[in-house]
Amino acid sequence: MEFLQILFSIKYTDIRYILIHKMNLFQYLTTIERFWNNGEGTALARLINISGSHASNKSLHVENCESMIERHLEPPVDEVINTHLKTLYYLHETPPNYGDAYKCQMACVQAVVKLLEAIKEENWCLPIMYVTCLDLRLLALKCENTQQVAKRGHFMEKAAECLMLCFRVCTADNRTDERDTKRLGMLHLVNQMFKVYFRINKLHLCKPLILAIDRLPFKESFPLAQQITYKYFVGRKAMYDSDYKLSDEYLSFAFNHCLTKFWKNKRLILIYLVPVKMLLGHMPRKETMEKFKVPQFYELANALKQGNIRQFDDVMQKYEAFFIDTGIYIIVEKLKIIAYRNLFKKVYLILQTHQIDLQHFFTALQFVGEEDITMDETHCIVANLIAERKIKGYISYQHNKLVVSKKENPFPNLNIQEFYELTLLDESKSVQQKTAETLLIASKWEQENSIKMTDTNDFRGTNLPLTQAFMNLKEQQQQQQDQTDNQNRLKHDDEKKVENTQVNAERQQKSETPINKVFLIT
Amino acid sequence: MASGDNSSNNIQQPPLPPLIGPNNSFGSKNFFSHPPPPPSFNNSNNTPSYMAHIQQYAQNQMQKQLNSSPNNNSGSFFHSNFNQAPNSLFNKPIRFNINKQGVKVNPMMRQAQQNHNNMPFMNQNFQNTNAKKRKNKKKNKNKNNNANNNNNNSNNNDNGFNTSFSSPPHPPLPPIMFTKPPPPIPSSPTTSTASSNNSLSQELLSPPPAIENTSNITTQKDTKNEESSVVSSTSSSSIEKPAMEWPESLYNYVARCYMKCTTPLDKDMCEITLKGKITMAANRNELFTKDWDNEPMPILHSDRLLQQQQQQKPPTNNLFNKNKNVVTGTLAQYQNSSPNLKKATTKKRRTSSSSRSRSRSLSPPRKRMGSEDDKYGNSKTSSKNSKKKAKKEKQSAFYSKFGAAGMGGAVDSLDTERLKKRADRFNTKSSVKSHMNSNSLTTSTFNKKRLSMPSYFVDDTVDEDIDLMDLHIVGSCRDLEKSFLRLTKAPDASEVRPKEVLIYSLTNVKNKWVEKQDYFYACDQLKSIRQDLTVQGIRDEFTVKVYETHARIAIEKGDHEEFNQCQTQLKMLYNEIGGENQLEFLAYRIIYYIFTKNTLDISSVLKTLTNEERENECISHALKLRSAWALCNYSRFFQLYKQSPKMTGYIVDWFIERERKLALKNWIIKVYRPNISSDFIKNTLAFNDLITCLEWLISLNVTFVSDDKQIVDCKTSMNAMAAL
Repeated sequence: MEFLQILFSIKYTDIRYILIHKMNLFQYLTTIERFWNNGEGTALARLINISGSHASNKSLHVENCESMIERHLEPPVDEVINTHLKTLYYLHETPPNYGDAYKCQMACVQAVVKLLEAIKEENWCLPIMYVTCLDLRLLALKCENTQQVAKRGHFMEKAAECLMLCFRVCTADNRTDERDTKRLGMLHLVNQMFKVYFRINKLHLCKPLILAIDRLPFKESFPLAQQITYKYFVGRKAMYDSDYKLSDEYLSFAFNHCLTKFWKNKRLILIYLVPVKMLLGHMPRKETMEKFKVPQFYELANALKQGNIRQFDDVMQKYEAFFIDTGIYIIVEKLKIIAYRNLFKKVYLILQTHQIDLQHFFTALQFVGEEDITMDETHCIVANLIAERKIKGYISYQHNKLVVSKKENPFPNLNIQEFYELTLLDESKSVQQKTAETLLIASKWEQENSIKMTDTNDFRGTNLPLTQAFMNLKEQQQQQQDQTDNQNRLKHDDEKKVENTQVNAERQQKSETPINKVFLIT
Repeated sequence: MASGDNSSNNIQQPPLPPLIGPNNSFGSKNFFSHPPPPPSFNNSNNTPSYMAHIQQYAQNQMQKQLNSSPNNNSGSFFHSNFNQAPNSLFNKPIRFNINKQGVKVNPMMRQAQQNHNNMPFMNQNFQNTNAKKRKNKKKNKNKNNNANNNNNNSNNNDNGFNTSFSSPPHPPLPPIMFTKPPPPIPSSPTTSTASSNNSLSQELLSPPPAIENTSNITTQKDTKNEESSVVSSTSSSSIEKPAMEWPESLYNYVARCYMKCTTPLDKDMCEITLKGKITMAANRNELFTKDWDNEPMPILHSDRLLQQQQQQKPPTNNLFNKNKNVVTGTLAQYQNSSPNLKKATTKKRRTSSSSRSRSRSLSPPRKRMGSEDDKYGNSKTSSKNSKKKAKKEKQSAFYSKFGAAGMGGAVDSLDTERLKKRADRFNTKSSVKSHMNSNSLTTSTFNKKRLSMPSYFVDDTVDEDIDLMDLHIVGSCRDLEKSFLRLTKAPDASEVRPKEVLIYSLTNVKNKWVEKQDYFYACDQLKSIRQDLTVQGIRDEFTVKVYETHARIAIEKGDHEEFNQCQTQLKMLYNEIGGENQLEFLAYRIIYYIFTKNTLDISSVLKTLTNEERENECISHALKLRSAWALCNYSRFFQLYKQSPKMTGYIVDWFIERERKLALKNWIIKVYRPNISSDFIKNTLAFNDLITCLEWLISLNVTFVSDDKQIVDCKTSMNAMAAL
């Protein structure tokens, strides 16, 4: 009974489809003919899929079946089927002849282009295009992996050219009604091309595609899955272009909308999202990283929070292969600047003075692992932080001192800094606008405060040893200095007294700074 | 073979309409792999040394040429050869060029030579073919010579033929030249006669005795023959000694004709025409006087296809057209040929033959010297050249491997096959074309498409292979220097320098570069060398050297476009054949990527680096530099710049200005208050001296505190920085 129920619940077309793996060539062709005449694009697409259930059907693996096809089908679909069957034939040779299969698939896509051109003002045939283009890319990938090294990239480029043909047909269809226009197929194609371009390192080719999509009036109405893929790639591209805000926006969209069941995809998005977020001052939460099996970032974040360059380098070394393979090595490397900032901030908090001798930074850097650093480099690192507004102040070369702002926090929270750059420094915004945005952000921080408190607990433990060790080192240094300079000694004694309060103050600072906060995406 | 050696008469095998069955090909293999047993003058043994000598000779000549007057020989006087066979257009020049090595011909003579040159060419041809296809050719030559000797006594052609007919079929001796190519299976002599009119033609067509005789010779002749053969070789060419066999040139001619045949239809046409021609020649006693080298090839069915193709190829086109009128005559032409013409040819013949014998006399003695005893005697020179020789051999191996058409010697089976395929391609080309125009697919009807579709795919692959291979001509140009000119057509062999010349060219460019530092000249020369290498498909250590040289010069002169071309090529070359400077240039590439800010490619390079590679001096420096650059650690960046190994400093120079500006802006002016000393800037930004530094600062409108310009006012300079 249940079986029957299931059977009845399946649509008529599906039954025909289900049987396809047992069909002979004649039945296959007649089925296609029927679908074709009825304009059932999706069903048809399933029959032109190289991984469809009919693909392994041996009775369809005929090299030359032109006459058969000719009897059943009319142009332009006959050519599509002809080339498709040829592709299947080559694919099921032993060993699979990927090279020829790829060429046939290419001809198939070209036939589809013709088909698209032939069917004007209708778009039911788009699924056929989707499936053939996808197959073409997959075959190109297969060829890249199986053929000799010299031809690498060759297949992919050819495939991209083919996809471009489809893309042009779709873009050209701009007079048809929005429901029936083939422009609805653009995003899928763009995504396929993105995949190719990202693989062959030709990101500059992506730009016109992005522009084309941006210009579409109905870009929000694309299927969510396609939008997610699109935003994922554009986000990645923005990351390589150092446009972290945009990258954050797109990748966050992709991550938030990607369904949980596509765990692998979500993880992939996360791999690019996390470094971007970290650069913007959001550290990842441990549970999230563990959930998606990317502990690398959590370890990295720990090193960053402590300003521990040595640990940072160790983590980089340890996961170098991972970072390089995913293509984020260059980005992750930049996080070092944040580690510097956190380290210098610690120095500032310990010294509690607005005129910090760069010698202190120099010592601190040496202590956390930059053994071969020079004074000039210390200058340079501090200068970079100042230039990026991560430190408010200036350097007096004559006195070899960093002079930081007294009025405001000389180490602005990275988040605030973002707000500062986006809102207050933007001269194009009106005063009202700025006030509104300031209020908005203030309320946001108030809301997030409660969550923050829970997370800060783990950091204290980890921070303490380093801070302690660092302060011990400071003491030794100070003692040495004491011998030479009596005046200073008094000052340092004072400092020692307030040592405990300093640590507390630092903790407080930590708990308030959003930098310690986990970014909450999930 | 052994049986063939026994008797002088029995061997008759038609060399020209070669009877080739499965046996034959087998036989040919045997024939060559097993040299006739000693004590006879062992041809096959001789050949290598002989060949070596020819090569040596050629090389010596070449050196002489180069030394004396590199530019003298630029003229291409081989053109006349093109007319021989349309389908050999690609092959012939190559062959001749090769042979030509060392033979100086004044281009001015070209006109005068029009008629003469055929013979010398023939001769050279021989040498060359020998050089390239040692075993085959060598035998052939000897055989022919020997054959001439043997047959000196018997003036009657018929004898030879009769015997051949009567004798039972022996294990077929492969006609030497065509050993490989399964030549079209001609109908047996008897059947062929049926079609032809007279008995004479029959006989003529039937296998000329020469080749069969060779086998006798090899066995019969003993060491004496060594000399005699040489003598005969010289004498045979002269008319005074009428040998009754076909002349070599005729053999070659017939061979060429059959080579041309790609289809059975062609074969039949060819057979008929040849019969006619040879009969005619025999009737008029022209068999030896006729200029077979210049003889137009019969027009075959496939020729017409080729003809169409030729019309698309401008350079060859002319030559072909020149002969066209002649060629069209085919059989009728013979009947019409006037006695005057005959005389003229004989006259020419004589002169040419004399020249031939001269050239012969040059080489055969060498050949003898090449036999083992002498070889050692000559070891001085041979050892000198051995290296080059080896290289050359390698090269030829390359060509044969990749089937570069007719690198000397007869067209082999592979080539014919390819030619055939090629012809086929042109048959289908029109239909294929329509497919290629991606969008035009729609236009053709489905049926048509369907038919051509499969062939399209097949053709496509073939197309790729063949076109690439066909481009691998071998140049004949002797110029030491040549300006770069972007090719707009298929390269002409006469304008392309072979590798041996290029080696000198490279040294020349290097020397001049060291002397004069004229980048324009060097770049131009190197580009033309690169082009010649590409055109000839030479990809070996020498190619690497050329690209490395050019890359270095480009680096030094900051020509990043040329450098990029070179490094792209080098990347591929290193993958194919490796090279000792691989890591050095990899480091240059990394720095080049910094220059182009191509972080993606940097990542892909990082992906491939192994730990050992990272330890290389240049690579580790490049990586440190990259890291400093990525982190905006200007201080370290400029320190590393000061310690650049090898040529890395030059590449950094390309973008040092950019980085200095950034450093000045983001590090110094923005950060230091109230001011900073110029000296500090000079040191940190790696300027050589204060003056250049100050000049640079002034050019950026930086404000100084005082007139002595020792201190920069950072705050007021901020405005200037904003403009950067």
